[in-house]
Amino acid sequence: MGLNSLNSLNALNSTVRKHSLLNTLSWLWPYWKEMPYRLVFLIIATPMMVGFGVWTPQFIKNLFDAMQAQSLTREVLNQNVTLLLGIGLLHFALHSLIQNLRGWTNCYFEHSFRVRLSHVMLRLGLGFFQRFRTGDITTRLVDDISEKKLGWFACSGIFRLYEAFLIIGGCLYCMLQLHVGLTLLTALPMLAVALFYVRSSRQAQTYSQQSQTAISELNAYLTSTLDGIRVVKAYGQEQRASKAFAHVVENQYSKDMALARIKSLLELSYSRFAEIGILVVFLAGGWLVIQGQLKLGSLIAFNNYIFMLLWPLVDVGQFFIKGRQASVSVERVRELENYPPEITQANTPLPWPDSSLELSLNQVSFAYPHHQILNDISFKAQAGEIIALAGAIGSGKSLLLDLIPRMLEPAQGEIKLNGKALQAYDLEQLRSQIGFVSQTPNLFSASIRENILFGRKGISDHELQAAIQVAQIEQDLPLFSEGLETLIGQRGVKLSGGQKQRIAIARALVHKPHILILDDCTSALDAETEARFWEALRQFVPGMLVLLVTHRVATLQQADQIILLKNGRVAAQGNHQQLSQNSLYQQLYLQPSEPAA
Amino acid sequence: MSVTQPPSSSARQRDLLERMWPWAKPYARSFALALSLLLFTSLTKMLGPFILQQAVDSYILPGNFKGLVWLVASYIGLALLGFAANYIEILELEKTGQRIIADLKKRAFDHLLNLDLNWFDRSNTGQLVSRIENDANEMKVLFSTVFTHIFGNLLMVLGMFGIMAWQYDLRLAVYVVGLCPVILIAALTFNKWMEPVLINLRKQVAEVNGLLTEVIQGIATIQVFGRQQHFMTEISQRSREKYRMDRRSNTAFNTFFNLLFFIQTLGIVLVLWFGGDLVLRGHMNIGALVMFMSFIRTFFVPIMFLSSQFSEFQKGIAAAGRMFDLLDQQATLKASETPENLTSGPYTIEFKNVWFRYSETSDWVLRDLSFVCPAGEHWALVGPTGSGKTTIMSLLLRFYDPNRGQILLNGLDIRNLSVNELRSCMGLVLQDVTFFPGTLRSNLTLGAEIPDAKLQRVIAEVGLDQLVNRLPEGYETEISEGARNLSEGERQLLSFGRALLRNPDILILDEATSHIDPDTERSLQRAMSTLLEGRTALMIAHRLVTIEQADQILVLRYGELVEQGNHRELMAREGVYAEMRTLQTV
Repeated sequence: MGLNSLNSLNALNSTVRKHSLLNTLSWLWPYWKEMPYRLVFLIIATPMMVGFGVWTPQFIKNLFDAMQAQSLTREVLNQNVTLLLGIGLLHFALHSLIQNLRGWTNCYFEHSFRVRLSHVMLRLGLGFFQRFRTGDITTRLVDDISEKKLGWFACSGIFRLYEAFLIIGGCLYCMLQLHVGLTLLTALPMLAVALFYVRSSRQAQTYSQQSQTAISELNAYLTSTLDGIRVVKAYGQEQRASKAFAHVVENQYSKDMALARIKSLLELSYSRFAEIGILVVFLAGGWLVIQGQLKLGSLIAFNNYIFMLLWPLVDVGQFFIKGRQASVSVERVRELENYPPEITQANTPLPWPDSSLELSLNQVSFAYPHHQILNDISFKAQAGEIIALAGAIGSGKSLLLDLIPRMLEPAQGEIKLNGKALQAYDLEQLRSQIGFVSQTPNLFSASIRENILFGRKGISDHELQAAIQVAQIEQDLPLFSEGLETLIGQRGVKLSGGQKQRIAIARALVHKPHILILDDCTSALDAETEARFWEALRQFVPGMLVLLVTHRVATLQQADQIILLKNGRVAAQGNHQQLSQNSLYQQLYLQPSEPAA
Repeated sequence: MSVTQPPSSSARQRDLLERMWPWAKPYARSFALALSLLLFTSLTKMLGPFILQQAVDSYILPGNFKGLVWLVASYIGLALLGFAANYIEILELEKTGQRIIADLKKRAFDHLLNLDLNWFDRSNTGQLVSRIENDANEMKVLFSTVFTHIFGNLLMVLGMFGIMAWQYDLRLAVYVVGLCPVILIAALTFNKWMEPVLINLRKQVAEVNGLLTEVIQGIATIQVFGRQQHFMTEISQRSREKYRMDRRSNTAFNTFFNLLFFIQTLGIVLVLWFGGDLVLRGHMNIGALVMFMSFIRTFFVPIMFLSSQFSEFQKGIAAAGRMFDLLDQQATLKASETPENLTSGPYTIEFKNVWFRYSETSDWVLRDLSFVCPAGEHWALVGPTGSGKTTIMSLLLRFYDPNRGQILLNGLDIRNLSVNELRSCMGLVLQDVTFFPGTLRSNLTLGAEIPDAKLQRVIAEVGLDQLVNRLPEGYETEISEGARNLSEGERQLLSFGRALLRNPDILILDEATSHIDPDTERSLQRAMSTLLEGRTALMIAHRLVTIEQADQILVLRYGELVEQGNHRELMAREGVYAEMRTLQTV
C-alpha cells in the first residue's frame, strides 16, 4: 500500500471522528431509502402507540379520585376498567407490530450490509488481506454489522430514541397538567439518574472492550497451541503451555471482574433509585394531598408516569452509547469500503484475443516495503511454450508469477498480452483464462468435485475426468469413502499435503486454461507420482502457455525457456542446455546429482 | 469429534449437578454469605409496597405528615442498606463464579495437553477452543446467578403472597399470584419453542462465520480464478438463511415479552376491578389497593428475570455436560510408573517386529517392521505416500504405542521411559511448521534459557542470520498470524533452528526441506553434516538427491521394509529405489 493512500485513510478517519453521528446516519440513509413504506409507517405509528400508553394512567387516576371523594359507583368502576383494558389491548397490538417491524428491519439491514460489504471485500487487492487479519475482517462482516450492533442501531436505535422522546414529552405534559411543582421535583432527579447512567455506561463499555480483547487473546492462544499439539508434545512444552494459559485466564478473570463491578452497580442503582424516587414523590405528594392541593388519584398517576419514564430515559442514554459504538463500526466498515483499490478494472475492456497468445514482460519492477524486489525483468512467452522460473529462496519467483493474473501490479514496466497492456483486458476474464496452482494450496470445505469445479459451469464430466487423471488423483479416490463426493476441509476428511496439491492441480486444469501457472506445486508428491504427473501434463498442455517454478531438474530440462533469477533480476535466460554453462545454474541445480540421463 | 453428548435426562442433570459440587464446595462460605445478604435484600424489597399502603392509609388520608416523613425516611434508610447488601451479594457471587470458571478452564486445558495425539486426530481445534472458552463461560450462570436467584425470588413471591393474603384479602392475593403460573407456563412453552430456533441460529452464525473465514483465507485463490461472483452468491445465500432465522427468533422474543407486559396490564385491570369492588363495598382501604398494584410491578421483575434465565440455565447444563465429557477423556498411553533412567546419548534406535494401525478398523500402517539404527548414524526413510514413514517418526516420539512389537532406545523399551525424558532428547522438524503467538526468539527457544551467543551461532549455521538482520526488531519481532511475514522456506529453516537449539541426541526430519531450494538445501546440508556429528538422525525426503549421504536408506512400501542399504548399494541393486531415483532425474 502506498504512502498516499495511507494518508488519505488517516484523513478519512479524522473526518469520521468529527461528525460521527451525522456520518453514521448518512451512511445508513441509502439503505433506508430502499424501504420508504416501512419508514413512513414507523414515523406515523409510533406516536399513536405512545399516545395509548400515556393515556392509561388517566383511568387509574379517575378511579382513585373517585374513591378518595367517596363518589365511586359501579358504573364508574366498570367504565374505567373496561377502557383501561381496551386501550391496553390496542397498545399491546400496536406495540407488538412496531417492535417486530423494528426487529425485522434490524435483521434485514444486517443482511444487506453483509452482502454489500462482501461484494466490496471480494474485489479488494491482496494488500488489504496482508494488512488485516482474517479474524478482524470476519468480525467486521459478522459482528460489527450484526442486528445487535450496527443493525440494531440502524432501525431500533433510531426509532427507540424517537419513541423515547415521544413518551418523555407525553408523560411530562400529563404530569404538568397534574402538578407543576411535583413534576419538576420528579423530573430533575430522573435526569440526574439518566446522566449517571450514560456516564457509567461509557466506563462499562471500556471495560467490556478490554474483556473482549481478553477473549480474543485466549482464543488465539488456544488455537495455536492445539493446532501445534505435535510440536508442543515433541518439545515437552506442556508445562510451559499450561503456565502461559493460566496467565491468560487470570488476565481474563481480572478484566471480567472489573466489568462485573461497574455493570452490576449500574443495573442495581437504576432499579433501586427508581424505588427511592417514588418514595420521595410520595413524601412530597403526600404533603400536597394533606394540604388539599393534590388529589390522591393524581399522586398514583404520578407514580405510574415515573415507571413509564424509566425505560425511555435508558433508551436515550443507550442511543448515545450505541450510537458511539455504531459510529466506530461504521468507521471500521468504511475502512474496508474505502480501501484504495490496488487493481483497477478497465472501463471498456478489450475482448479476449482469438489469436494464439503471446505474453511479454518489458522491464518489469516490483517492490514490497521490506524486501523481495523484482528488478527490470523482461522476457517473452508464447502459447505452447513452457517457461520455467529458477532461482534461490527469495529470488522473486512467486512474486513474478503473481503479476500475470494481476494479483499484484508492477511498479514499473509493462506486461503485454498480444501486444496490448494486460490492464486493458477484462480482469475477471483474464483470470478465468488462467489456471493457477500456488505453493501452498488452498481448498474449501466442500466435496472434492466442488473443489475441482470451483463453481464453474459448463464443465463436462469428461473434462473433469481428464483433469483428475492428469493430476494423479485417481489413485487416491478409492481411499475416500464417497469418491469425488467426499467432503474435505473443516467438516470433512483431513487430506495429506500431496492430496491437497493434486486437487489444486486438477482445479487449475479442469477448465482448459490458456495460461497455466504452477508454483512449485509438487513439493509434497512422492517421486513416482510426480514423474507420472509431469508426463501426463506434457500431453495435456499443448497449446497452453505454461509458466512454472520447480526445483526438479528433469522438469527444467523440458522447459523451452528457463528464466534464472537472482535477487529479483534475470541472471540468465535460455534452455537447460544453454544454462548448463552458467555457474549459478550449475550451483543451484547441477551440483551433487550426476548429469541427468 | 469424540466428545459427544448423550441424550440428556433428569438423571443426567442430577449427575451433572453432583459433579459440579466439588467445584463449588471450596466456596461454600461465599455462597452462604451471598445467600444471607440475598435474604435481607428480598426483605427490604418486599416491604416497599407495604410501606406505600401504610403511607396512604395511615398518614396521607388522615393528614399526618410528620408520621409520613418518619415512615419514608426510615424506609429509605432500609432500602439503602438493602442496596448495599444486594451489591455485595452480586459481586461475591460473580467473583465466585468467575473463579470457578477460571479454575475449570485451566483444568480443562491441562487435561487436554495430556491427552494422546490419537484423540487430537479425531478432534477439531475450533470445537476444542469453544469447549474451553464458550462452554466454561456458559457454565458460569450455574455457579453465580441461577440457584441463589431462583431461591431469592421464590422467597419474595411467597412472602408477598403471605402479606397480601394474611393482612388483606385472600381472594385478591390469589388473583395476583394466580398470574404467576400463567407466566411460568408461558415462559416454559416459549423456551421449549425457542430452543431449536436458537440452536439453528447458532448454527447459521457459525456457517456465515466459517464461510467468510474460508473466503478470506482463500481470497488469493478465489481472485486468481476470477470466482468472486460464485462466492458472492454463496455468501448472500447463507446470509439470507441467517436473516430468516434471526427474524423468527426476533418475532418470538418480541411477542413473548410484549405478552408479559400485557399480562401485567391484565393484572392491574384485575386488581382495580375486584379491588375497586371491595373498596366500593367498604371491605378494603384505598392504600391496600395501591399496595396490590405496586406488588404486581415488584413481582414481575423477578419473574421476567427468571424466564429469561431459563434458557441460560439450560445452556449452562448442556455446557457442563460437554465440559465434564472432555474432562472424562482418558489418555490411553500409559506412563511408566517406575521409569527407567535413560543413559546419555548418542542412542541406538531399534524397531523390533513393530505392527501398528491407527484404529481397530483401519489397515495396518506398519507390518512387522524391524531395523537397528546404530548410535550416531544418519538414516533415511523413503517410499510413496502412505508407506508409513511419518508413522515411524510418531511412534519413536511415542505419540502412539505400537500394537505389537517394541521400540528400543539403547536397548530400553521406550514405554518404560518417562515420556518427557524421551522427548527431551529429540529434535523434530516437520514439513508444516507451527508457530506460537510471540516473538521470533520465544518461538526459537520455546521458553528455554539460551545464551545469545549460542542463538546467533545456530541461526548463522542454518543460514537465517540475514533474515534476522532484515527483520525490523531482530529476534524480538512479533511473529504474525500463521507467520505470514516469513516465506515458506524461511519458516522451515526456523524450524531447523528450533530443533538444533535443543542440542538433541536424536534428530527427526520429516520432509523438512520441501520448500527450500536446492542451493539453500545444500548449504544447509553442509552445515548439517557438522551439526549432525555425534547425533542419531532419521529423515524423510521425497527428493532423493538430498539423502544420498545417508548411512542407510530404508525403502518402505505399504508399511513393509522392501529394501535397505546405502545409496550406492541400492543403485547397484537396481530395485525399487533405483527405479524411483531414475524417475526423478529423467
